[in-house]
Amino acid sequence: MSLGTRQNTQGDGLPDGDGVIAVAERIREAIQTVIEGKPDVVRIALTVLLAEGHLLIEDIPGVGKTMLAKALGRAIDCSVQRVQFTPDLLPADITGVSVYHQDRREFEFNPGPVFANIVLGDEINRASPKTQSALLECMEEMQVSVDGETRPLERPFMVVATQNPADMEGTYPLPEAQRDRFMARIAVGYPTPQAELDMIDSHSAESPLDRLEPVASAADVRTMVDHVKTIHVAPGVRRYAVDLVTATRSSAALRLGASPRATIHLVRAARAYAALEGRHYVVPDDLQALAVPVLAHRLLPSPEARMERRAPEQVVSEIVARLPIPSPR
Amino acid sequence: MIAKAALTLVTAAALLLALPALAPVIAGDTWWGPSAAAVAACALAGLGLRAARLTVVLIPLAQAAVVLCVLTGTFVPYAAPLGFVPSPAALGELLAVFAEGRMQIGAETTPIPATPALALVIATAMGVLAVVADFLAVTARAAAVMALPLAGLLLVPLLVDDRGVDALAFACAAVGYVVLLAVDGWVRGSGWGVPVRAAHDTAAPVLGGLQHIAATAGVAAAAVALALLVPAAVPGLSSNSLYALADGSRLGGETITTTHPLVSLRRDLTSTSDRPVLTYRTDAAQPDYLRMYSLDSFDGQNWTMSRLRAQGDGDLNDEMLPSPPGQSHISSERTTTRITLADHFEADFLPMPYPPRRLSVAGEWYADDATLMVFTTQAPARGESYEVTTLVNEPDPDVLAADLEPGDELDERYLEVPGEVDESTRRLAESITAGADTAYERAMALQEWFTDGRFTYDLTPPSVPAGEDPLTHFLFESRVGYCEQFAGAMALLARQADIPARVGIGYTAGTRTGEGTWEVTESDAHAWPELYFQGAGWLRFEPTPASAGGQGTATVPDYADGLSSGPQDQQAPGSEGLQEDGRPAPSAPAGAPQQPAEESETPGTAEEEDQGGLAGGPRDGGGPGWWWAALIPAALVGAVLPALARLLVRRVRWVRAGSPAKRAHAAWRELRDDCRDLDLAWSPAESPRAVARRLEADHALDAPAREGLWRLAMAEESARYAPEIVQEGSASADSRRVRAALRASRGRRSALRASVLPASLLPAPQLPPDSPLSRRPGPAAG
Repeated sequence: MSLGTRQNTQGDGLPDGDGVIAVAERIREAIQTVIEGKPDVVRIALTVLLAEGHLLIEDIPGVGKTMLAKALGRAIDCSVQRVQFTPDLLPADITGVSVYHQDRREFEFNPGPVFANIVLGDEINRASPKTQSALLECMEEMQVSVDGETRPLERPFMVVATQNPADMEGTYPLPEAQRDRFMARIAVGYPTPQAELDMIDSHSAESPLDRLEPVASAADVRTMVDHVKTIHVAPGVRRYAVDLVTATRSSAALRLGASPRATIHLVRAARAYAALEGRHYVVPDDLQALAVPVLAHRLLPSPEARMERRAPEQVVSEIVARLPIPSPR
Repeated sequence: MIAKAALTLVTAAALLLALPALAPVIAGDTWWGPSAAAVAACALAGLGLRAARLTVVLIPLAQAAVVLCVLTGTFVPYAAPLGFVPSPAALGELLAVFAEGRMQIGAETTPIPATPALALVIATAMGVLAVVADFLAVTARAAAVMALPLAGLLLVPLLVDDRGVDALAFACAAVGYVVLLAVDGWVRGSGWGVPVRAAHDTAAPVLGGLQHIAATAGVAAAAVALALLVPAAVPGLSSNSLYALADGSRLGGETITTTHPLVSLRRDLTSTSDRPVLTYRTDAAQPDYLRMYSLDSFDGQNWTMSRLRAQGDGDLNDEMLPSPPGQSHISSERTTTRITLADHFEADFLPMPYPPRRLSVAGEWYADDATLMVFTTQAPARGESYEVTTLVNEPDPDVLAADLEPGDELDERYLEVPGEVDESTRRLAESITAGADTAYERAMALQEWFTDGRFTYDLTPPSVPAGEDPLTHFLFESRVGYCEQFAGAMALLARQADIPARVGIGYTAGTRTGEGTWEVTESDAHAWPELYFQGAGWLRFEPTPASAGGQGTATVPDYADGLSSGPQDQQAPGSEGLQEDGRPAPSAPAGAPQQPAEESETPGTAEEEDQGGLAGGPRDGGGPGWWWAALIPAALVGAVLPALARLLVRRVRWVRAGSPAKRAHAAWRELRDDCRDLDLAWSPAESPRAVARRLEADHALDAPAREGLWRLAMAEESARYAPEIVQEGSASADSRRVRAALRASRGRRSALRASVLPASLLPAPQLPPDSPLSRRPGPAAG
């Protein structure tokens, strides 16, 4: 990205900043061998990983949603579980169940797929709301409560959910409250004609996914996450984040604005984004780049905006283009 | 809808508030009712028609029809069906009344009595203005242009009334206009929705306030500078009202002010053209000079004319003129002269021999009490023919010998010598007149001193060295000049010798063309001193050499001829003048006009001539030149004020920037202001690096400037957002470099405008608020 070409030399001064960039760069290259021609999508996915958020990938079938999620899981040497959501999936299928052990005459807990570092929730909107909410508790609290016992989940923990657009057949759209728990939503989109041509070659013999080797460990990721938390956020930037979120609440084109959780997510994501740029401080440009992925899926357009076919993404872009950046006194 | 209604009403109110400005030119108060009714009818019609959603183009037509109905109903209800319908008959009647009103305006002087006919004319004008104003302000949404109709209204008293616009009335009109603008601004603003406040902005309030003040001051200074410069650049606009401020001394009740073309006359004084300016028939054997002006005020540089004062109704047809001042003995001898002006010769002062007693002239003419100058305030006469009866101006030797003190009736100003006149001239006057007992003898000594050969007559005298006083140069060094210098110098020396003196300008008697008929040409223009002797009145002297070596047709009057002791001498034909000692004919008008005598060309002549051209110029020292000298620098200063203010802002910014972070901020603000000066886009929604990226992409910057731009952007970014600032290079040097590169890429014209009229002095434009951000209470997010 162009921002990368202008990174501040200051960021290079921190030793683990260098490490973060190097590791993140490796992961990015690994994923890009699978997902070609989508650097922005990969960047947002990595940002969410480092910000300890969860990612929602929404797009039409067949553009590589699952591929992206799988590539991310495979590039990192950590436990990866995949859950194919279907209408008959039960909450226990996700969290796990306690089974009575005849020999030891006690209950034994069989952990479900959620006990992993990266959980792929495929087509999450095909499951019933009850099952969806079971996953969401884990996402928010990083723990599982079964039979009155609370079990923490291992860090890093990231849910990558994919879903088809809500107006496709056989789906239960995620309610706003649940969408709000995802840090970012991205759409993969169609590849460019050139990327699609390359894809024919690379996917004809064997899946590039099979050749993907892990390039980072879970410990690496934990180090990176810790580093991200040290990124400096100046008061002006915080105020800008609040301004952005506030503007969505007061916009006439939106029925529902962004939540305070959105503000927190925005700043956390911006820290990770800055770290990926090799900067040790957040600039408004980071917030601007993240505003649409982080905010848009939480917003509901007003009836007027719906009539004018102004999607929330568009409204957020307009706010970003017009909202003054706080400047120093 | 409400917005348009408000605009309609405010527009009408603004017009009504301007109405009192007309009050001074109209006597009576029956005129404003119909005018107000016309304006109100127009506004009400506008309200109704807009409520009915009539096509906008039809609204002015319908309003005009309504106004017409109101006028018909008000002024000719008897001729109209139903009392107001403008039928053809009623319209004819209305037109007749209107024509009567126009005639009245043309015929009467202000204040004009408020007859119904006049009220109709005013009400019609107001109705038209109301329709136009309504269209401009409400339909075209160009409320600011309303200044034109309002200015048109205010112009009326300015043009026809010396007193100008009453301050209160002007304030009324201004308030109406300002309110109109305010309402218009409010309406526009509400059309955009509620503005989003840049809540965390930024610019220190103090600096913002300074910017507002600087912008206001800049606009005001530019307006004043224009108001002063434009009249200066347009000769026709150099009205005397400005200079009249400086001279209240002679403002009298019935003062009549006029201007006169001294400038063109000065040109004539050096003319050698034979083009005739007038011909006359006289019964005098040797006619005297034909005087047009008497210049009574000396400002140290130039002779000018004080404000004229005349009584009467302007009708001098077969009228007696005021008595010539100072003459105790009125001779019974009269000469009658019938003068015909040439067609190309424009005269607003009539040339005639002095002292005139009775005049027969058509048109509006006035006679100045003190000097007997006859002038008009109307258009100058051309081809005019008039007859004047003149006293024979021959003083009684006994009276001259008696050497009476000037009486009280003579104004002190004829003896005034401004302080800056060199003291050497007084010593000179004393040495010349030593040994002369009476005023008359002193005058004769002065004339002789000028004419005894030490002076040379030349229409193109050598220029005066810079820094030297032209008067002393003429008197003591060059001693070369023409009638203007001779007359002015002698008049001044006479005043130094305690003889009241002034300078007459007009024509010599000219050349005889037949029995009793004479022709005067441009080359006969002449100036001469006139000296006052109690009991004998004003007598002209002739210090200018005559004949071929001088002013060809100049003559020396008998009483001033050193060879003849008495006034009763024989009269010599005045045709070919004699030189200094030439003998003069007492009663003969002679004439070469001259000009306010002053020394030869003075430095800054052009400016002073303009001033001389103003009747009633300031008489105090310094004269009009002072105004010019002050106004032009003031105007220049006004023009460079914005640029200076911009430099000041830049300077203050850098001086106040102590720390690296502040220097980064200062550099960034400079970049912002430079962009605004150069009319480049600047959005507060852009981060420093976004700005740098855009400028880099949009402008062909050279490599050093590009790097400087990025250094500025990164320094500002780190100063704002990083824990510690990164500052590479010199912020001020980078700032300069980037500014130069941006200017170069924008072209010379933009760069010039950025220097002269920096837009950054104005408050930053507000972002147009639009719907996505307009305020709306929304449900709390979950």
